Amino acid sequence: MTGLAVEIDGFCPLRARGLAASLPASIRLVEQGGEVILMGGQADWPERLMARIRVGQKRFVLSDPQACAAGQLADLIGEAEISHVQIRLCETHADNPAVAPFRSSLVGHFSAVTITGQGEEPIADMLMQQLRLARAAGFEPQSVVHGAAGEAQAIATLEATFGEDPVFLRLTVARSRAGSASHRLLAHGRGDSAGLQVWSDPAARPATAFYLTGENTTGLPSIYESAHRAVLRFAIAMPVTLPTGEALRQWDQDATMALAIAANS
Amino acid sequence: MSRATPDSRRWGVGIVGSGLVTRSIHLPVLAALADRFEVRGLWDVDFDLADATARTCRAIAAHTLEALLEDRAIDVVVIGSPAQFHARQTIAALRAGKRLVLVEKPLCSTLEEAAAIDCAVRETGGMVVVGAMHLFDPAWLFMKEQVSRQANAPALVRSCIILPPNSRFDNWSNEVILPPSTPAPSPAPRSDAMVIHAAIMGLAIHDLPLVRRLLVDHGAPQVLHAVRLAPFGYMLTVRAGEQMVDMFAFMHGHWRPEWTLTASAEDWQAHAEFTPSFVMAGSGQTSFATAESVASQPVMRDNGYTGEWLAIAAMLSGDAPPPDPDEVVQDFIFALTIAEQAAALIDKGACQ
Repeated sequence: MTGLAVEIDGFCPLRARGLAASLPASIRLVEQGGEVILMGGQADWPERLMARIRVGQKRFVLSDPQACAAGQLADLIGEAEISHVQIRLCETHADNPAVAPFRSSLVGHFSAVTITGQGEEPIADMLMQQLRLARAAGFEPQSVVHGAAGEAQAIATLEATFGEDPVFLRLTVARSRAGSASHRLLAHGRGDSAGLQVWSDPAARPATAFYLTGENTTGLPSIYESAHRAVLRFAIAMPVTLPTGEALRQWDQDATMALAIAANS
Repeated sequence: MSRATPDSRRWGVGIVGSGLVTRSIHLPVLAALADRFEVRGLWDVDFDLADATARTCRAIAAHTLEALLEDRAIDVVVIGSPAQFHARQTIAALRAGKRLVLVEKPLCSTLEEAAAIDCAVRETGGMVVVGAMHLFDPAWLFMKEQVSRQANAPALVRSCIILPPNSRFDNWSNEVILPPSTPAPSPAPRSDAMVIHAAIMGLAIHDLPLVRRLLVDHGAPQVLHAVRLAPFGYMLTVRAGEQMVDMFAFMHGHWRPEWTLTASAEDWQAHAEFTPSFVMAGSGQTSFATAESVASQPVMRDNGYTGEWLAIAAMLSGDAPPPDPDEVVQDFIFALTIAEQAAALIDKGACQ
């Protein structure tokens, strides 16, 4: 057998089989002894991850970790750093393969970035998806200026930075079963505008993205690959995009903001 | 029973103001509805402009507002002047016995003025329609119909107005018929609070009547947070009972408009997309989604401006009920409440 041995923990087995089958030369699913653990991000993910680290496992792909773990990661981060563990986050929206080229296309100055989204997940998790998408697109959340939330909706204004520029980040989410769950980012500048819509389902439905300046609009190419398939391909080499401790601290900072906004009911 | 219009079944229209809204919107729409309406008089503080405008539609320029209102051939008066004159001119038209006054948004400037207009409507039996064209746009009518069938109200309403400068649309909707007699004065310096107040009463006002109709408890909206965006725009967080409203506007320097209204509930979502103002690009379009299906209404030929005048024709002929004066006033109070709260927040040091 060839390919990286991938073991799953809390990740949907059928979905894992589908992913592995689409990467037959690179990945094979194993019951135990995997070189990489593909972990589902359900609420107890820090405990499961810690247990795996303590038995000596070193490489992880953590899928869509739920925001409720915010503020509880100090021990985990410490253990991961001491043990030289690699944890690659895999987030459906932020890791969509369209996000990186979208970010590369952004060269202007922006006053505000709005992200509007809907889905059936808890409000805090949808806010987290938006914060992570913003960060991945180059708009780094700094602090919450104002947040308001209810059982089924939330609106927040944050200070963020785009490179050296300050920019307002506006998040709006609604819980709804109607239509297609997604997040839509629009960057608003005096002379430039850009848009990116990323879907929430695990299918390889391509994001739509454009960049506009002056009299022209550029549409970014369609990419028919899901975030998870793209991340798993990279997981084979496990390139270090961000040291594990730093990635988890950044995630924790974003999750803390998401929970704070969602708590403003 | 329908009433015949007095002159060959056409209603006479008099227009106060000869600016862009008159030339780009009302005159072309009324020309296309010439079987129902005839523009008979115009008045503007700039008589030369009124005269030049009147000649384009075979109307007569009046030297004074009083002269316009005394013309018995005029049944409907359009108030297209700056907002600070709306109340006085609307009341004057009603007291002159005009059947209907179409006043451009906002209705007026203060609560006292709104009460005075309401009083004049009830005393004279005249009708007042506010030119909130999206209320008459087929996109909104479809959305309203779909929403009215639902058991639950939307948890979130989002009004989004992203526009290029108005000047981009001038040459696509009309032509300059007379060079300005004097250069436009530089705008007076205004505080950030004044700017956001003006942005709400000048831009958000387009869709605030629609937003209000999507709220269950619209009597006391609470602006929780306000941000003024540069060069021109706002972000407002509004709560109305259990519902929340996200209001976003941004006027940039490029070409791309995006004007939408979205209402999201647990099991349905309605989304309307409107054209920019001025251009006659047909109606907006709407989708209404549930978990199982999506219904949509495409772009229709007639936009909200035409819908507004068709509704007026129906009201005048008795084929449609007159506008409820309470609704007219409540729309204004709703908008003014939001504008004043947002301005107060900005004054107190909210984000700019």
